Amino acid sequence: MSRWEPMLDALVRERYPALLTRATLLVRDRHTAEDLVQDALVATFGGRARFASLPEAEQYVRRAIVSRFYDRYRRVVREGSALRRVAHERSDDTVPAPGTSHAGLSDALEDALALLPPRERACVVLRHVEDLPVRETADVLRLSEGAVKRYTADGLRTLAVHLRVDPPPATGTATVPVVLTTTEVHGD
Amino acid sequence: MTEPTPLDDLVTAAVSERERSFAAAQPTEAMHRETVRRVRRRHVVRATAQAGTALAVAVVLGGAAWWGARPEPAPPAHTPTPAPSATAPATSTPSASPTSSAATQVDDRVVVPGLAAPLPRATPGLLASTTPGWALVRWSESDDSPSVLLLASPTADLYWVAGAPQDAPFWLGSWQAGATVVKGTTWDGDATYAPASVDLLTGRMTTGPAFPPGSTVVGFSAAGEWVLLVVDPEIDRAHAGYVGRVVLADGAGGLREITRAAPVASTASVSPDGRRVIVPDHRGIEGFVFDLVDGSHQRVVPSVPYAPRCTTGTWLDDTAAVTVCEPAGVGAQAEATSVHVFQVGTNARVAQYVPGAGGLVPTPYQPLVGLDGVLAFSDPTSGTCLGGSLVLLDPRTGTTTHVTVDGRLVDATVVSRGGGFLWTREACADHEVPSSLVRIDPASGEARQLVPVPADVVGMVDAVPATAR
Repeated sequence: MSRWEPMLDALVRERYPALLTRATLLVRDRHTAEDLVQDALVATFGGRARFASLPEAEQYVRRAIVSRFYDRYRRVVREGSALRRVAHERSDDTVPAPGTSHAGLSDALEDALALLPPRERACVVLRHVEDLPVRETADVLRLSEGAVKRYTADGLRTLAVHLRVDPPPATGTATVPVVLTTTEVHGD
Repeated sequence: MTEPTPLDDLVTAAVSERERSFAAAQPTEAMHRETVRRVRRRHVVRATAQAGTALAVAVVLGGAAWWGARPEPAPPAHTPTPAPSATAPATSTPSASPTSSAATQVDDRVVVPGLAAPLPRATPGLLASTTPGWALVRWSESDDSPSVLLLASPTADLYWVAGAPQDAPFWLGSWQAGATVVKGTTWDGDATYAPASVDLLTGRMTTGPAFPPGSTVVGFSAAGEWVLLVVDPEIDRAHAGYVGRVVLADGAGGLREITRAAPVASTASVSPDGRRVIVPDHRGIEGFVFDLVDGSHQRVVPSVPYAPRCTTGTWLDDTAAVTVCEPAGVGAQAEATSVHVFQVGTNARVAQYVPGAGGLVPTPYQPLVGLDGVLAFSDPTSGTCLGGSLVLLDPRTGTTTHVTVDGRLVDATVVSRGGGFLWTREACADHEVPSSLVRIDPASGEARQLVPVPADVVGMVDAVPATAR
């Protein structure tokens, strides 16, 4: 048995739920999420890196989940409209209509993330779920740091609107709706 | 160390909840065997290649998307066929194949990656002759490549303007018809935004002093000032939420606070004519309209039936704004959500729209844009993509119209507006289609797509319409 096999086995046995959770943030369909985890495991353990510990290996895999997700999107864009239609037809993802009540917080977050374009989704997950700095996020996704900042800000703003929480303090240039909770009419 | 925001807390809780729900999840035995098999194969391929055997090393390198690896560079883009648009660009002659650089010149025309035909240059005379109806577009081949500035006419003709600034990001903000300078925003590389202007004749960017920390550009005033919402993160969020100030910046370091004694919350919306801004107060209970010219302000809350959640701030036109309310205790349902139009000067509610069963209505928290008296939003019940197709609602009459281009619905999420334009992004949740710029006739719902949607490059990343002011 090769050196990597015991670590791969241990990682899957102990941390598969966490890995599947990360994939589900990016793609709603369970089977697609499982495929994404498998791809990330293959990419990580099939590469040159050697891991001193299980947490280190998990960190690599979690980042690989996001980068593989983003690579799939880039491939679809590159390969043109025909593949886009096929990709769309294959998707079992469903996004509930805005305002639909959710089974739980995780459903609400995943619904909101599903409304983000893939690059915003990837940036938000790496920055705010994996807590990666901007520079490392840019390296994982092969984007400029400026692009990461912009996509993250745009994605967070959209999430804040759909999840009904205060938006982040420093954002981009789009206007956002204003929330009022009173019914009185005043005039000066 | 940055304090976690409410959104961070929600994300953390949601992720934990999902992990608990997956506690018993494991791959099937077959799936795990397949994973092991694929990893073994990669190690074999690499070892064989290193031994000098001619095998596809690219299989290993190309798939090494793990942290720290750099993939092989993508091949140059091929010449695409643009997606069908309402009108074909005037320049439709066959082009040379675009290269992976930002643009190359062929005679007097410029080849732009992702566009089928080389573009004529926008001359100083052409720029001077632009009127409302024209738009500037920032176009990019990929997320990492240099972007370029293009000019789109009302009839979907495209012209090359200049290479966009490369040393720092530049987001388009405000452009006056006929002007050779466009205003926008850049990032100072540290922690905040700064005003910037780009000379359309040279492509050179001029940057002003950085905005105050915590600033967001929410629009431009009629006088051409950057309208900032400056948020103070030190205020106790549990009691007051974010507390912000509306500040006008002249771009040269001059700042003029509008809100003064009236602390406001962290969102704001500038009227189409740039004369006013709506903001809630810091408690999110009452609202204010501030005059950006003389600094006067007016408390304004429309008279609406009691509802726990209302969203106000979408300008219907220069003097009327809209409040969207959902009732207590339920999610936004088409039968119960209401849209209220009120006149800013008098605070009088001038119209109320409550749809019947099955009627179309926006929810309080989805993107909503006012367009010459009608509201544009996405209807998730129609269209082929999951975000829904574009719909116009006249809240004064209750008339709804689906936007069409050449008779087909426009799958879109409303992103931005200005001068009869809507900047849309197709809302397919599982993949992203590049953004496009459509000019909509609010009366008929007919639209013209001004910028092609390319097949293999990023395409339009930013746009600003020409304003009359």
